[in-house]
Amino acid sequence: MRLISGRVVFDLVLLATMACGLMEAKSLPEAFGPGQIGPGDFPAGVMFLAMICLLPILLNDLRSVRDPSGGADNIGMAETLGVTATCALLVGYIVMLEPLGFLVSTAIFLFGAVLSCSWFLDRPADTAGWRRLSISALILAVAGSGLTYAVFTYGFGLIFP
Amino acid sequence: MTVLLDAISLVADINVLLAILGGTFLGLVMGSLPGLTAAMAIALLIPLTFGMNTLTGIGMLLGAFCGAIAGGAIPAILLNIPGTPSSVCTTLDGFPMARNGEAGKALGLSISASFVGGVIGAALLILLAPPIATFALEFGPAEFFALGVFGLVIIASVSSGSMLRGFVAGLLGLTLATVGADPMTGVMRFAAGQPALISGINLLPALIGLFAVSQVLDDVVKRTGADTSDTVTQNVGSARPHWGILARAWRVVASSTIIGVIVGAIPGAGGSISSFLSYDQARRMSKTPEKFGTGHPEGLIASESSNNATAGGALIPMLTLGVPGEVATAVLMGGLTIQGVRPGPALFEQQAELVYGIFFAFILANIAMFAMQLLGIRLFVRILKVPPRMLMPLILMFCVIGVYGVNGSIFELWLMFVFGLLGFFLNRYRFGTAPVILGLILGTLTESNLRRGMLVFDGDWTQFLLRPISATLLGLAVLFLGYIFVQHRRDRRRMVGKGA
Repeated sequence: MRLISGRVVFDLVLLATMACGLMEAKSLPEAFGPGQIGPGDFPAGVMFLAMICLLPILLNDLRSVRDPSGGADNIGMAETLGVTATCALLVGYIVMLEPLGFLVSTAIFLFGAVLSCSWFLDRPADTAGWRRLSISALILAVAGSGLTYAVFTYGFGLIFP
Repeated sequence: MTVLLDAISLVADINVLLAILGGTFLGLVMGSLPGLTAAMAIALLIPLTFGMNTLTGIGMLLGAFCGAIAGGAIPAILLNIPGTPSSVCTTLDGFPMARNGEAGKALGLSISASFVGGVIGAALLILLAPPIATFALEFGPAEFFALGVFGLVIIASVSSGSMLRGFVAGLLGLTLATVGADPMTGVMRFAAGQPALISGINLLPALIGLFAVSQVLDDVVKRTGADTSDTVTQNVGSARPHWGILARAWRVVASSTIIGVIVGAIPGAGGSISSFLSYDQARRMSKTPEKFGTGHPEGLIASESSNNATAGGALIPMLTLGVPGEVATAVLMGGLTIQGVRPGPALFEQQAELVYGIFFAFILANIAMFAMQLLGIRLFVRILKVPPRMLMPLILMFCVIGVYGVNGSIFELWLMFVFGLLGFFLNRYRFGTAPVILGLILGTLTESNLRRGMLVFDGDWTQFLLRPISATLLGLAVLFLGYIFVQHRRDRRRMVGKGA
């Protein structure tokens, strides 16, 4: 019998975050006068209310884990890999942006992301298909980054590394 | 009169006009692409408006708002896939018309009905907003606090899943709004020693993360890859306004636009609700209700005139009270706040020219939307063919450019990434992202007015319940909260019943 699901984990993460926040809010200085609201009171109240509301949600989700028909929200392995790959590419792009500069990092990101999306969304059937796709990804990467750089730098006055 | 003339001179600026045209075009492009919503279109365009003056930037965002809502009808008619949630109802009669060889007529009707709905919605906005704002000028801290609470509770219904989850998402947004230096005492709250968070969480990375990055991640999971192979594109070139059909269906147009404006003005409701209500009303009024769902022009007219009228209606509470009517206006309000414009009754008193400038810009955006769709329908149909594998990387690139280009801050890119992941899980587990952004926007207003009120009332919290407006709003919020819990219990019982 399954005891946990992504939903339950997410509920628990939210609950734990709210609990930590509540503790930090409680450690903030008190209000100046009687009957007044200090810097920690409002967030503490909001987080307490959120925790109260999260409890029935968590119970509901724990019940639905046991329900054999309740797996509609579960993410399959291929989808998980797709999201992980997209996140990894985005993280790589952010990390590369300043050291490599806008043009190079954007071109690498676009090339990698087009190939990755093709793999997960619309995979070519044969080697020739992959070759064609790689060429179009390369063209998009070079033209896309160059054109965007020109438009945003000279058109909108943005400054990129 | 001077105000109106000043507003006209503000809008007549060539930069404002070009921004409206550009925003409308980009909105139409994004609305035409299944999966890209009006909220996402506005979020992605906000960074472009930074270098612009206030009305130019707002004009661009309004253009994107109108364009994206209207553009959603194109895939709804040709692909049977709604481009935006508000065009779901358009598929019911639009796609059958296209399949019957009337794609051009369906697009033409949709374009003209959208235009009529949008312009009437704008006219009602101009008529209704000033008196509401004048009334709201009487509001003090108690009323504003109550309004913030009411807006947050009611926006829970915007959430894609259960209302209780939406409410939790709103509370999460409120919590995030308290990050940074406390505005009254300067005490740092939840900033984890990060200097970039002293002034709080910047709205732009939050908006782009929650509405654009999360959407791309969601598309990867759903493997949307909208199948464009069976697009019905015959006769699209013959798309032209069908004023005769619209005139004959004037009762449908009138009822749909009125429903659209009213539903749009109710915080929490939105284009998809108004178009279904209008569609149902049109079917009741029709002499041939049995033809609805088989390609009946009246069904298409009802849906499209209503969802575009909703845009005008949704701007009423946003501009007059500072409470957005639905998701896209929540993002639009974020854009206005970033531009330094604080929507609310004081805006009508202090910057009346700007407010009327916004009204005129909204009318111009509707006209631009109409003209561009008629002239460029072939181009927008072609956009449907852009494969998602090319589109998704480009959207992510624009997210990075948008966030980095404004402040040159890598920290904000990380913030965008975190909000993107958060939004992905919030959508996945039916909490929704709109309440988070609304909580983030309304958090400061709610907290500061609560604390100001307690100072003014010498710590006597009962004063919040003794003033008629704040008492009414708080009472409604409590009633609605009770309804949220009842609905949650009902859902649970239903689930238990199903399991048994």
